[in-house]
Amino acid sequence: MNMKKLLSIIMLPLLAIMTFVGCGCDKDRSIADINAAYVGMVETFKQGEENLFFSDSVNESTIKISYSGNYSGGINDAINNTEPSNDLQRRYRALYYQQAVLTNIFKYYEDHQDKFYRVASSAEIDEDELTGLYNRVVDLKDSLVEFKTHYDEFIAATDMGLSDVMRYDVAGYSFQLNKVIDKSFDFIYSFIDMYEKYCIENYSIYSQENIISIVDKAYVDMSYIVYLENIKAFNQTIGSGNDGLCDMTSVISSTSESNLTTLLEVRGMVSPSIYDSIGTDTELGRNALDKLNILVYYRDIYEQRLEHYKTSYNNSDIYALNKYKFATSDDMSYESYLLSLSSSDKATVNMMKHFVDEIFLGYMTNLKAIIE
Amino acid sequence: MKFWIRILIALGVVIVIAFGIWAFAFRESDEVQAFNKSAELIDYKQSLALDSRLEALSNMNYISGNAESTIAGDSDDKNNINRYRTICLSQESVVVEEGVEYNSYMTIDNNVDKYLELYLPYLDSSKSKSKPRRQVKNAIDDYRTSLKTLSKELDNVTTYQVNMTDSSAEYSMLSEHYRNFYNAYRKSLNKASDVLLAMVEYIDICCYGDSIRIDAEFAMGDAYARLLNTTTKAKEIDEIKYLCDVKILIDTMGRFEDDQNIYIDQTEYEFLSSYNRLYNDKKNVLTKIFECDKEKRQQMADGQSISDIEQSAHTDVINVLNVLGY
Repeated sequence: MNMKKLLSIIMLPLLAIMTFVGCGCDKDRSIADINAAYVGMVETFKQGEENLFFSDSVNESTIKISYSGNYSGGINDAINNTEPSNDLQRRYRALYYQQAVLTNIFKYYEDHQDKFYRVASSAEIDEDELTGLYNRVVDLKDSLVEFKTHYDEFIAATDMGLSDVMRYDVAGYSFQLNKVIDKSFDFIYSFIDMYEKYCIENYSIYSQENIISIVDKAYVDMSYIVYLENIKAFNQTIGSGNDGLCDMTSVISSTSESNLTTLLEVRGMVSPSIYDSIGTDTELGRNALDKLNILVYYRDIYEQRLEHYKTSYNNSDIYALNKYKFATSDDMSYESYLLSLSSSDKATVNMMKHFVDEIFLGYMTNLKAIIE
Repeated sequence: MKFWIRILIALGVVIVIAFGIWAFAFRESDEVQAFNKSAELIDYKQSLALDSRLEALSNMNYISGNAESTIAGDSDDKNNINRYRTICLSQESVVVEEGVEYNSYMTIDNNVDKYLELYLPYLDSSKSKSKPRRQVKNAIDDYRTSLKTLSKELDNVTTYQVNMTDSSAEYSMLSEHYRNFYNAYRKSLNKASDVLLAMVEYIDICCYGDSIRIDAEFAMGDAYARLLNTTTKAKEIDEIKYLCDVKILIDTMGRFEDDQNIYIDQTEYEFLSSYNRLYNDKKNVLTKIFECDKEKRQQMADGQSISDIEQSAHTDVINVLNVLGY
């Protein structure tokens, strides 16, 4: 075989691969494309005057699942029931917390999308960043399209009435809703990154707009940790379809201090005294400055440590950890469980605890200090 | 060349290449080494069961296994034995004079384990650099060696004390064993502080690109390691003064753990930003405030002029020392 033949044999598959990879490359995207994709996503779920997943007329960009059908009143009552008394009612209550997470996520987008599309459209933005954010919108839409099938099944099953027969349906539905929440976080963190990079001129100035961004981001962060610790951690059982007790319902009924879901219950507003006094050389002004400084300091520590927490979260048996932490299993106490771990696993659990109890809750305590 | 020789050479080449690929694919990465070494250290320390053995010796203030034969009396040897026992093994805080107390080695050692566990997960960084990694590994190796020596000296002193009779020669020998035990314990605490300091530096550089944001727990851990390092290197005659300063810090750490307010004259923000500035921008100042003697540290905390510390750092020094309890 001569050299030319040998080369042509090697080059052919290489050319084929290069052509294949070339076809798969993402098209360049613009800020307008991202806006259009988001608006298109919202439109997709319109049914007449109503929108199934973006139904709030005030916050049109926020995912808000609406329930219609014969038993829609029953579903809404069950979701808003603040004192669920049995397992099934608690399963419905879980949907309330999932919606609260979604509301906090999209509040950031609601408050900052106008400025983002206005300012970023004239900024020089890296193409990868634009494509990345565009793809996040597409992924979110795809997850909602997939979720729609489960939504329809859930509504159909619920129309027969709320009963124990539906344990599976509501648990499985919660599980599917978590997939939408995952994609929503992917989208919003990508959006926040770009907003902070291109739309905030000077971080050290606490303008009203910057303060709102800091607070909205803190609510997204709050929802993220509550979601990971108290909702996603129970995916294994809420998605399993078994008819036994759902662990998440135990968390919802728990009065333990570790129960972070209470953080989601009220969303406060920034105290007007903060806006009024900031920058003034008064006791009030210095106080407000101190509160904002410590909030931002905690946010920075939180952001620094988050990657380690996430890595540990993904590598740990988070379901077992929470099962024993919330005492939803009788086979072992939490202390015995910790003793059964290797040194490095125990250290990882302790680090995650330190992250949640000290860094995250410190961040939230300082958030509370500036809201009413 | 004969056919079989060619085959052998080809096989050799294949084996060498395969070994190279295997070594590359399965080599332990830097960060894994730092992490694994640290995890092994914690396991090793637990395997020595030092806590229970130290507590047993602490409760055994008598000889020959006879609770009636307490180590009491006026001889130099007995005084020395009791002095070493107090510094190393006392379970209660030791009162030097009114309002001045210190904790024994055994008590302050508890915080070493706490911080080893706190830092461990952060050593699993993907941006490991060779210098801080080598520092962690070397410090861990030295600490392991010192723990082994401590364990051996603890065995020696315990065995001798159980088996000895009430003769002055044997008390002299026991006093010698206690001295060796004290030296070994002191050295192991010194090496422990080296490990903790190396770990924080590793986390700072490898995890956060040399600009760590320090939280209160990390700040107190860092201050504890620095002060422990100074204390265990101080002249023996000055040691109690330094141990008293360690107690002030440990008491603050205890109040913080119990969710008591430790921010009285300074806000939390002032403390954290001051510690952060000193740690990231003025490490020489941070070193000085924990290396100096008790009187000078108190002067700094009281805001008195400090000649060898740059003027721009004075407020940060006061903020840090006041919140830590000085």
